[in-house]
Amino acid sequence: MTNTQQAINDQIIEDYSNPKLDVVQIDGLVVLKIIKNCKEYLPELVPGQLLGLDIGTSLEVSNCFPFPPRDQEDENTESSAEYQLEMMRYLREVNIDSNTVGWYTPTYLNSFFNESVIETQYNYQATINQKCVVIVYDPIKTSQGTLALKCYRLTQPFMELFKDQPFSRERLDQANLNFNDIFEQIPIKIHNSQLINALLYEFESSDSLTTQFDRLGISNNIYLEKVMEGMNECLESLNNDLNKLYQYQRAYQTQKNNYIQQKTLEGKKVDEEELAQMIKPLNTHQPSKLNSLLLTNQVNNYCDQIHSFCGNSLTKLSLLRELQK
Amino acid sequence: MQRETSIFLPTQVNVKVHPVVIFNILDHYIRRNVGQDRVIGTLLGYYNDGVIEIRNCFPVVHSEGEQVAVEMEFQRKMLDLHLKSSPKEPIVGWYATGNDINENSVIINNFYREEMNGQTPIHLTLDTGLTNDTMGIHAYHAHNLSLNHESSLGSYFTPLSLEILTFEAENAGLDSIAQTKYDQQSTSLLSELESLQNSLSKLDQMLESITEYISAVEKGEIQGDPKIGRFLARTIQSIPKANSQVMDKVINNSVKDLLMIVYLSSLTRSQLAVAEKVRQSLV
Repeated sequence: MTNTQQAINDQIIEDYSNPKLDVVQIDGLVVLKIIKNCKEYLPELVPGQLLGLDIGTSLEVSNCFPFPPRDQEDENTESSAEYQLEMMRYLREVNIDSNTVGWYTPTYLNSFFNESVIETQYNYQATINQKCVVIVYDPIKTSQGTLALKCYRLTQPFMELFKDQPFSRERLDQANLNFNDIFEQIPIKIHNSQLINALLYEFESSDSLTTQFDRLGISNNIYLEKVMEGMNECLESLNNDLNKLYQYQRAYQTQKNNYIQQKTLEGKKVDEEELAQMIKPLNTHQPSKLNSLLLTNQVNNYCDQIHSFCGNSLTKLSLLRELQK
Repeated sequence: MQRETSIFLPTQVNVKVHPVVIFNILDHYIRRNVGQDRVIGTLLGYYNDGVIEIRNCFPVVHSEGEQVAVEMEFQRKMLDLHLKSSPKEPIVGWYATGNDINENSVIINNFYREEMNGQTPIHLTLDTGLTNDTMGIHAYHAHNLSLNHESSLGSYFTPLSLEILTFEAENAGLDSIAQTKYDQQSTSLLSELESLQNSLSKLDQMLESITEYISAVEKGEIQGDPKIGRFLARTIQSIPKANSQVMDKVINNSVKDLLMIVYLSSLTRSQLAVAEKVRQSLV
């Protein structure tokens, strides 16, 4: 092996073990494919695989394909994995990157901070490559005229925390993890080859494709209503969660007190070990903190959405008011 | 689909292509093997009342030397996989890059005719060499020239009318992708406000050009086109005539609603922040 080859190999290994990720570079083709696949399956939300390469601290996504939609019975996890492998094998034959770099999923109103998404993403990051990302696409927002594409990755501290269940309050406190620290958003860049740029110039000259006035619509109250509804639901379940925690705490305390009372009545000294033994089974029933953490994150996300949407609407409205005069 | 027997059969087929297909073909061309002149692949989509919508495509391995070899096994496997994820998109034809149709095209076309159980495949060509400075996207139907059913004298390809079709989400996608035109390197996504600004300046431009046109017609510099005039009149008519006071009220109400919502969400956010602070101070 020559020196340069050695150096390249070292570089690859170093890149692989380096968890830093600054930017995700997406090919225009991938953007269009995600939009198309998503549109096809609506109202069902069908995720898919992203293919590409990771170079240094950036990740290039150069192709993607959708997973086959799930059948009625959920027996096809095996066949789905087979489908992926086969697809990648064939894509490799036509010189397409056959390297998994993550997955994409369509979502309504960014309501994707749930446990199943986190689990899938955790598996990607833990088993394939720590640079794997999830690209989230919002078809509703996009049909209003702005491409809503976001790229996320689980943070390193959260990965550590998620590795070992249960997700108790003590461990969360130890990690000192904020609700903002679950996902990190990674900036997206769009990349096109020169040939595709040439095509885009051609599209521009033919007028039919340059209608970009969808986003000038004023009355998007339905969207706002939906976001508020989602937020309401979230807050409600957060409340439920808190109640559960409260009940648990009360039961815990009562049991402890009962025990101490009994011992004092019997005139014996309180045995710390026995107490711990008594309380132990309760500990396993401790509600998972993960849920409330996720809900908080979701609420925060809704707030962000509302802010950006309202900011836009206000701009449009003030414009309209000036026009009226 | 009609089965043609004579060359006089009119083909009234419209072909509509989604941009994603063309992107895919170009990507395939960029990733071609060393020494390969052109690439081919299968087009997927559906027939609908004389309109053929091409919605997807995938590359196929082939080689053109002294003999033409298309990996039909590969083609079938790929088709199977695509049908599994989108069963409503059967095979409708094939694509090739380059701006000419040669004798090899005829052979490949026959391959595809067999794959499609005798239906006539659409042939889409894309000129990646950019001769005449255009991409030259064309669609063809091949017809057999024959005197009787057994023998074939040759084939000829008739061009079909072709248009690029998008839906609104695709428009938005294309719009953001198109930003790379101005910047050779990769660009980041536009924020909502920026894209709003773009739209408005575009609208402004359009209004300006139409005012210019109107004033030119008024001065008698150019002959007014009645079609444009009628179109303008219709546009102006479509603007709802509203009492300015009523309109003011509507706008004010919306603004108030929005401000209220912003206030509430800010409140929620600060609640979250407070909760977080309390938790941290307890540790």
